[in-house]
Amino acid sequence: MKQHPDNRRAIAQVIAHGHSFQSHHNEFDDPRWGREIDITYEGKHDPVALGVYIEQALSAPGARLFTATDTGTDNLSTSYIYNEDDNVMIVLDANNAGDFGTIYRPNPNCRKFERLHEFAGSPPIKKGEKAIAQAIHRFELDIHKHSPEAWETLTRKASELQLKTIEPEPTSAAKEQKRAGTNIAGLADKNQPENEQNAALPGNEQNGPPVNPTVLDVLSDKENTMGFWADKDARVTHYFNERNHTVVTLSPNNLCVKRFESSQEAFDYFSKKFDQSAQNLGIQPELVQGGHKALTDQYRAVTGHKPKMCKTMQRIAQQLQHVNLGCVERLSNSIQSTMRQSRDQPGKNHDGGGAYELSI
Amino acid sequence: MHTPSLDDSAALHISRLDTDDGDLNINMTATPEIWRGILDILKSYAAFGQELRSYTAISPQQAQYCTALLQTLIDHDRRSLIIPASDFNALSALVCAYQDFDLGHDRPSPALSPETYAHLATQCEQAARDVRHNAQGRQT
Repeated sequence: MKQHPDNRRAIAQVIAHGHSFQSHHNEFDDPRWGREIDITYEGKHDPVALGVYIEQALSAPGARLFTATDTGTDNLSTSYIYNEDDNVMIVLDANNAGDFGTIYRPNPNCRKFERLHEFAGSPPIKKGEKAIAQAIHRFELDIHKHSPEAWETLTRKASELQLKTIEPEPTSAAKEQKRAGTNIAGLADKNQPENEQNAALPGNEQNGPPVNPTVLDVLSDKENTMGFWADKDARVTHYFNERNHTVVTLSPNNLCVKRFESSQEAFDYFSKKFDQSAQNLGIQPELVQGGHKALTDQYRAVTGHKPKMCKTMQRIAQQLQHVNLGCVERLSNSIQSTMRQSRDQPGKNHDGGGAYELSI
Repeated sequence: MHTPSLDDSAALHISRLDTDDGDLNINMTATPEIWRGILDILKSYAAFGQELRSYTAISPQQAQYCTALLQTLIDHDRRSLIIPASDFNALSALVCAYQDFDLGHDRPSPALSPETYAHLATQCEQAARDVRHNAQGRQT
């Protein structure tokens, strides 16, 4: 892994010239936020000086950091790097293709780093220069691989500041994957029909009913899948597949699959979700037969706009592939395993549903 | 199974709903005034745009979703909200993070007294911690 110093400088300066300077420059010489940090040039606050500080802070050995991934947006990373001595938080956000992050001084009384860490689900906390370099490299790779437009924006903004960027080197694991020909991020060709993409995923048979249904099997089964949107923007949708005794829930953070011993058990679970949504919405949701596409079309017809959850089958396929190469196989294995446990341990308190939850 | 409320003494009642199917849902009950106050807080985050994640670890999309949920609740004049644990974590994080912006930053004030807000934030933080602890206990 190589994190190029030119990129570190470019990232630091681009962040310094964005939101962070507009909103936060006064915090750096105000003692309420901690010791004074000089970000001035010829007596005035200066974004270049702030960028120089960020670049230095990104090499500080005492800084702590954690990296959270936004499962709703292709697992793009956000790293929170906290220098306690200076009371400075630097955020590298691959989800934010405008400013790419920020730097600010949190209220020193609010344990901001610890609270952010809890809010983010308590990912591992790391410390030191090497950990920061890894976080920067992850940030570079994320915006380069997942969003070419974002990389172009970063390069353009750096160029406006007379700085250059270097194409980031992929990690050794990614190189291995590429050599082995297993990098399937581009598998779902935009020109391919949806059913062909579905067939291209592991665990799905082109002829006859699948033995272990994949998520895409359930969502694209027009004959046997009905669904509803659980909120008025259709960010959360639930699907019931009668043939495979399966309920799939798509939400901004998760894709949850539950498979049951019988169609009736699956339907009972689906009905509970339906009733809960009716209670939250104040009206009964509309049940739509015909799978994900039919539900999306119906939502458009009723509301006049796209559902917020948005996703075409192609998009869902791509996200599944981004999450993990083996996720579909793990899904099948998990379902089989849970079903076996259900049969082997009948006295145990569970509903007989094999559940598998993964983040998309 | 319905478990006892995490805090029965407060204006906001938060209780776990451990369903038979293993999902963990959270039931939140409050007066319309409290819901409107929380909605004010959530709406104030709209101005953050893409920067929201930097200050709260919550995505703008999650914040919009929580805002829409509460708006629906208030529009229908209801007092109870049942949401999955993941949505509750986002909602509680947004309520708790609001107190971090009182030093030198402009922010709109919700229709809640500082004391009520402080109580709500403490409740949400504690309940979110319990929920996470509970979820981790299920995984191990």
